[in-house]
Amino acid sequence: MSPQPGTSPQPGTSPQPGTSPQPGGRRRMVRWTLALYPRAWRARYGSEVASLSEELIAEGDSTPWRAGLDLITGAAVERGRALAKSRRIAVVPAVAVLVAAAGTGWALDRPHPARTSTQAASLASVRCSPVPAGAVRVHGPGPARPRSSVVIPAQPGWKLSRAPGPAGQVRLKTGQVRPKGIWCITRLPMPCAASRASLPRPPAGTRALPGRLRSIRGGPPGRLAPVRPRTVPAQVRPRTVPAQVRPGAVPAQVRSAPGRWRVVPGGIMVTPGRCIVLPPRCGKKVAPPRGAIRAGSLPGPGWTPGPPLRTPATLRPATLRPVPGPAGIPAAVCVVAAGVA
Amino acid sequence: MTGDSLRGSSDRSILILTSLAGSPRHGYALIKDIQGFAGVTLGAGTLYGALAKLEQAGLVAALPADERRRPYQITEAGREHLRARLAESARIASIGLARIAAASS
Repeated sequence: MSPQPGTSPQPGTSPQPGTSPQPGGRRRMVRWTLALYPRAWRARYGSEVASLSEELIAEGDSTPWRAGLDLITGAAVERGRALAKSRRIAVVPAVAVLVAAAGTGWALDRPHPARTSTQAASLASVRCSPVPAGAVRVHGPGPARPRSSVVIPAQPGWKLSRAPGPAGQVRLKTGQVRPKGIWCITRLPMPCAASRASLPRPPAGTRALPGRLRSIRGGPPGRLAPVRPRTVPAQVRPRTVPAQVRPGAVPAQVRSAPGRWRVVPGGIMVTPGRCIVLPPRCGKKVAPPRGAIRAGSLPGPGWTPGPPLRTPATLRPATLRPVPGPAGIPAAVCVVAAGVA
Repeated sequence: MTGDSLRGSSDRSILILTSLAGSPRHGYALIKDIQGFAGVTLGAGTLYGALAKLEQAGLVAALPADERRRPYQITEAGREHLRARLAESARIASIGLARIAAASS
């Protein structure tokens, strides 16, 4: 930043002896300290601050040391403010990317014979309402822990059911108690099924079986149609969404060929036919499904660790929304299953 | 009101808004005015840190620069904010003074 013209001491005023250096040195000191401020802030206020600092020193209202210290303190505050702002900004696209990818990218990644552009557009329109972080508590004694969520755009022909896993319940802030969201996805010649207990609102045309599976097999005739297993995409693409950003604890994802295992350490194991949510830090060992590999390890050659997952601060809720497709067939269902640690 | 009671960015904002409530002022005039009525000497970095926050919040607005000085003026929103804050402070002050008086008697 260039020094402002006319910033030398006012005529007739004498700086305090021993406290005010030459104007050139003052300008240099102010310039150096202003360089500590964020660029945007400096561009807007830098010249005014430089001018005022030099004026205060020249008038004897401040000393170079005091002015320098004040500027350094202010720079630290502004830096912290800018950093906090940039972090907030960074989280928003991370959430948007996750949700958008859940609704569109994964579904469109693999061509579906029966999928039309209309259905693809329907997939993109799947929306999940947010749930405040910390809305879920472990039922029973012990502190509440963050939960993980799986966002899966389900396809016709998948069956979503509770997987064998650690028994447990979660309690919402509303007082409602629900089982842990542990799910299996299997290929069936029928559209989706899900447990009622973890879904606040059943999709239209479904029949509730309290505490057990909800199947739309018994839904209104004409709305559902069998889907051949081979038309079901082989790859299930889950994502973990931890409740909080925990530095040093960001889970890593492992990429694999389509139709193979997909492992997120401390998070999720998925096969084309099965999906199990392993709650992180659950304190209880969960038997992985047959053929599964353990979290944190690679299954073999050809498997490579993926980039760390972004961990937005908000949770995705347990939501299941049918999106009507051609001939009234649900083209996509956004399912968010929650695992509680 | 002493200088010790006027710490924190919120108090600095109130001091700046109070100073600007009378008329638009540039940085040096703000510092001198605040020094005069509150006995608090703000540094340039401190003053402009608070001014930047107030400007972003729409409570003050910058006027066209006059030579090398840029005056600032309080906005209507800033006036409302200042009025609300001062009223709240006055209410708390009256309660505190009443309790002190009751305890002394």
